[in-house]
Amino acid sequence: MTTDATLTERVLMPVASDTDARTTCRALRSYSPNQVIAIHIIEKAGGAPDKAGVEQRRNNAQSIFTAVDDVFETTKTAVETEIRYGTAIAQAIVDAANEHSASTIVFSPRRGGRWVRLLTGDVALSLLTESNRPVIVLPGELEETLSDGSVAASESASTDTGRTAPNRRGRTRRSGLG
Amino acid sequence: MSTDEELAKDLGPLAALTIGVGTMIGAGIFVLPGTAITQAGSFTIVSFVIGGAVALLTALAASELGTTMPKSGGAYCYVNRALGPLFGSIAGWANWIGLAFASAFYMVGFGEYIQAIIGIEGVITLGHVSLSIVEIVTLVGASLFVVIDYIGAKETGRLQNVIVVILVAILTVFTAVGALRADPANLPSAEGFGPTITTTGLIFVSYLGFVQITSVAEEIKNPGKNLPRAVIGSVVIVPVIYALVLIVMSAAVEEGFIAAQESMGNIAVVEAARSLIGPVGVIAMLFGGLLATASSANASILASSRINFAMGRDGIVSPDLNEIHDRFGTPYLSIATTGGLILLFILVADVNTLATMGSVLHLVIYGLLNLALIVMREVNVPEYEPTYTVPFYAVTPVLGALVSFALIVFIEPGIVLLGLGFVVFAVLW
Repeated sequence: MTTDATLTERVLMPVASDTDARTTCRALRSYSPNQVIAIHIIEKAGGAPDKAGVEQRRNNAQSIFTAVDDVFETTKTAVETEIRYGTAIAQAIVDAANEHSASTIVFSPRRGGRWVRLLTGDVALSLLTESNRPVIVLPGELEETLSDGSVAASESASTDTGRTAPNRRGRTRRSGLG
Repeated sequence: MSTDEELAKDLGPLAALTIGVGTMIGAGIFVLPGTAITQAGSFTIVSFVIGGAVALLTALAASELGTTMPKSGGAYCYVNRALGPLFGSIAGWANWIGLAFASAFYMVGFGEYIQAIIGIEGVITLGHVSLSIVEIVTLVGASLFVVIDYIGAKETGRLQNVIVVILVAILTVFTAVGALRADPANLPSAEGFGPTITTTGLIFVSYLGFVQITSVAEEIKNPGKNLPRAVIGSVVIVPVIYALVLIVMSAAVEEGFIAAQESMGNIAVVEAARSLIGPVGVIAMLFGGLLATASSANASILASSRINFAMGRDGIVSPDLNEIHDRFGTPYLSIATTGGLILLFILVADVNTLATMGSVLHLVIYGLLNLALIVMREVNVPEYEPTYTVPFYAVTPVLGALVSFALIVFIEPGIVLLGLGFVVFAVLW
């Protein structure tokens, strides 16, 4: 468990919505991270009108952060929140992780079929391939069925050890770049 | 963080200008000239110039107000701030519903272009409801654009910039070729003052785009400078393009050609391009018409969700309407509601009613905007420090308010009553 302790020292947690925040926070809480930096990326079109106004999405971010605070309220985990802007969400998350010297990036994959992924872009996949830091994927909706989270821990560990051993899952192959 | 604030404001002057030009250029050139020339003859150009002048007066007022309150929601916020919640409510509803009417109008234009391309006509009857093919195409097209905004593809925004460039290129070639063939003798006879003003009411729907720039004011880089440039710039560029294209269009083809095409149900600008440039001209115009009407509708749907947000912020509509979608990150309920209104308006009203309703409701806002400016100047609000000021103050906004409200009076009484109904509804709400 020593690796877990360092990995959960300073966790960067990107959250996309209220539901996403609740799922991820509940899954993360059982690992008692020291510090959680919750970030919400406001996607910018980069020189064209956005799909929603900035003020509107800042308000939305505040409601997401309230959900984060609610989950960690009774724990020892220190929670920071930050709103960031970016034209590419995965890249903005990686930048944030670097800026905050995060020990790891944590997220739970959101449910959604091929079509939803096609339409919204697969942020999870981009994050895994672009990150120069360990990325921990927490089981999101499965959380309730797992009593102790041990399966989740070994799953995430295999992602983290990508730099020492050839990975069995092709999509984490570039995690060793950092 | 300052860098983050810069990232949040990523609309440069050109992108802001494109929003205005892109929203306006669709209707004026690609849908209305046929009807307008039939109604007002060569005075159509006068109609477009009057419309442009009215828009310009208000654009000046909107620019000054915009530099002091670069917030999401634009015109509605300024009126709400200066004239209080009662007029704010009127402006908010008028802007929202006006945009829905305008979008419905753009989509009918889109449907006409699709029909001109696929060339199918007819009526399909399902039970008691019978819909023409054009109506079905229009409804499908409108649903498609609502779905695109519901899902929120960020590519649509950038596509808009490309579309505007293509449109301006198409119209430039058309004007240049047409100018070589133009003969003043071809100009249709003028139809006098009455029809000209009525036509102005109809075509005014082609001058709604500049207010949309103010609705995304919070995203504009250095709004103090760029907002006035974009707003005023678009209202200067667009009427010039309209006037040039219209002069060429009516002078380069024989007199009566436009009216004849119109009565045959053809699209005037496409037929003019056919006679001037040939098949290539037809393809370019059909393509241009699709792009133009689509981008106008798309920009209007986006703008209306910003206005909904501002109205929700002040409690005029339920804030639930502005909930952001978990997955798509879009104000999906607002977009769906506006989309529903657009589909409804397409079903119940004809194209001229849609255009005129869009015009009337926006003229209400324009009048109020000018009044808002006067109030802000006279009341001496301490934190009111515009970085752009309206020239010839007092004359400009007073004239702006007068002509905006006067234009409403000249438009068909039936439509004005409908518009008045909306105002009463907004007041009661």
